[in-house]
Amino acid sequence: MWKLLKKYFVFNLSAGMEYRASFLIQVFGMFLNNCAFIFFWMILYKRIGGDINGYGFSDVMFLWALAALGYGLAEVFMGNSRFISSIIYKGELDVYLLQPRAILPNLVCSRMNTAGWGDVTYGIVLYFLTQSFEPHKVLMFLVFSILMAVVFTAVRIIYHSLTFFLGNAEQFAGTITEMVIMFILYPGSIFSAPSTWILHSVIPAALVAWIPAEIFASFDLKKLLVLLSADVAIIILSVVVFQAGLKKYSSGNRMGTRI
Amino acid sequence: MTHLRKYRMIFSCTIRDQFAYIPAYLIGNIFFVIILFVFFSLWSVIYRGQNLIAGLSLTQTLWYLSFTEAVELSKARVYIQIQEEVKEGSIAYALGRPYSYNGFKVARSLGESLVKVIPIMLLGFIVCFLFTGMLPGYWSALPFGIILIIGGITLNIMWGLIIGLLAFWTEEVTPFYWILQKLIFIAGGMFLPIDFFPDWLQTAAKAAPFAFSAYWPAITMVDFSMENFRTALFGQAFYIAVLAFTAYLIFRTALKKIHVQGG
Repeated sequence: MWKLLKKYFVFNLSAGMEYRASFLIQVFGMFLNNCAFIFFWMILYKRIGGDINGYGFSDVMFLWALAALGYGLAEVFMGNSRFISSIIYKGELDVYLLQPRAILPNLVCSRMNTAGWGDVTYGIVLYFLTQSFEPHKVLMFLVFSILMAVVFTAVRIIYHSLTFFLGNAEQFAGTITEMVIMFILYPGSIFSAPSTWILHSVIPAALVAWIPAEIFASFDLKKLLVLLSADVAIIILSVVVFQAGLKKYSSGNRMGTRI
Repeated sequence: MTHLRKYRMIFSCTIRDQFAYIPAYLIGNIFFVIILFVFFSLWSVIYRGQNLIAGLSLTQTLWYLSFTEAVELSKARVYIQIQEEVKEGSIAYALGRPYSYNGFKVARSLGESLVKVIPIMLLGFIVCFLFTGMLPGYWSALPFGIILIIGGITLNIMWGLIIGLLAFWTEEVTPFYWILQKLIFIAGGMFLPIDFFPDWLQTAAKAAPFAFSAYWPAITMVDFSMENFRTALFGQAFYIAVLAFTAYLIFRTALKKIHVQGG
C-alpha cells in the first residue's frame, strides 16, 4: 500500500509540475491569500493590547500555522477526499473497487490539489517566523499537523460517505468541512456552550487545533492521550461509516478508465 | 435614451434570471451567518468591559461587517466570464452585436449583484439583530447606505471588468483577482474597520479605492453623517469613472490583438 501511495504522490506531483507556471501561480496565490489575514490579527492585537481570552498573537499564529500545514498536507496527500460524494453518485467508485488495493486509502490518495503546496509552505514559514525553534516544539508542531491532516480527511470521509445513504451529500459535507477550517483559525476560548459542544463533536475544531494548541503551549500528557484517543475514534468511525456505505453502493453501467 | 434602453433591458433580464437561483444562493450563504457568529463571539470577548473601541461599539462593529460582506458576497464574477470568453474565442460573437461589450458586462453584472444583495442584507439584518439588537439610526441611514452599497458593487464590477480584460494578455486572470480581493480585505477594511488601523495608515487607507468598496458604505451605515455620505459618494463616483475609462482603454487596446479565423 505504501508503495502505491508513494507512486501516487510522485505521479501527481509531476502531473502538477507539467504546467509549471500554473502550479507556481496557485502556490504563490494561496500563500498570499493566507498572508492577508495575518495583517488582520496584527492590527487587532495592536489596537486592543494584551490577549483575547488567553490567546496572544503568537498563539493565534500557531493556529494559523497548524491549520495551513495540516490542511495543506491533507490536500497534497489525500486530495481526493473532497470528491468522494461526486465519485459515489456518479458511479465512479467502480474503478477503485476493481483494483487489487484497499479501497479507502486508494480512493483518497489518488489526487493531489496543487494549491495545497502553498498552504504547506505558508504553514512552515509562519511557524518559523512566529514560534519556538526548540526541537521538541518543532516535533510537536509536525506531529499535530500530520494528525490534523489525517483527522480532517477522516471527517471529510464521514460526511461525504453520507452520500451512500442520503443521495447527494456533497454540499453538506463541503460546508461542514469548511466550517472546521473556519473555526480553527480563531481562538477556541471565544466560544462558549452550547457552541463549544458542537465544536468538540460535529465540527471537531477543538480536536484538530485548539487542544493541540493548548498542549503545544503547555505540555500535558493526560490531555495528549485523550486527544490521541479521540483522533483514533474519529479515524475508526470514518472507516466504519465508509465500509457500511459501501455495502449500499450500487453502480450503474457507466464505463470508465483510470490511466 | 434609446442607447441606454438596451442596457436597461440587459439589466432587467438578468434580474429576472437571477431570481430563479435565490433559494440555492441562500443555502450557499450559510457561511455568511457563520462568519457573523464567529465575529460576534470574537468581538464580544474583545469588547468585554469597554463600550467603545476606535469610536465604535460592539453593535456598530458587527453590523459594519454585515454591510461589507453584503457588498463582497453579492459580487458577480465578471472576470471569470470574460476570461472564459477570451479563452474559448466566443468573445468574437459578442463583438459583432450592437452594444458596447463593457457596457453589456456592467449592466448584466449589476443586475446579478443587485438580486443577490437583497437577501444578504435581510439575512444580515436578522442575524445582527438577534446577536446585538437594533443598530441605532439604521432606518434613517438605510436610503443613503443603499446608494453607497450599489456604488460599492459597481466599483467591484469595474475592477472585475479590468481584471477580466487582462485575459487578452495572460489568459489566466484569477491570481489578479486574488490580489485585488485581499487588498479589499485588508486595505479596504472589510473585516476590520479602518478606524482600528494605526493613525499613520488610516489616512492612506481611507483615500484608497479599495475603501470605497467596503469601508465607506459600511461606516456610513453604522455611523451616519452627511459628511461621511458625501465623501463616500464622491469617492465612489471618482473611482468608478477612472476605472471605467481604464477598462475602455484596455478594451480598445485588446481589440487590436484579436484574430478571427472563420469557423
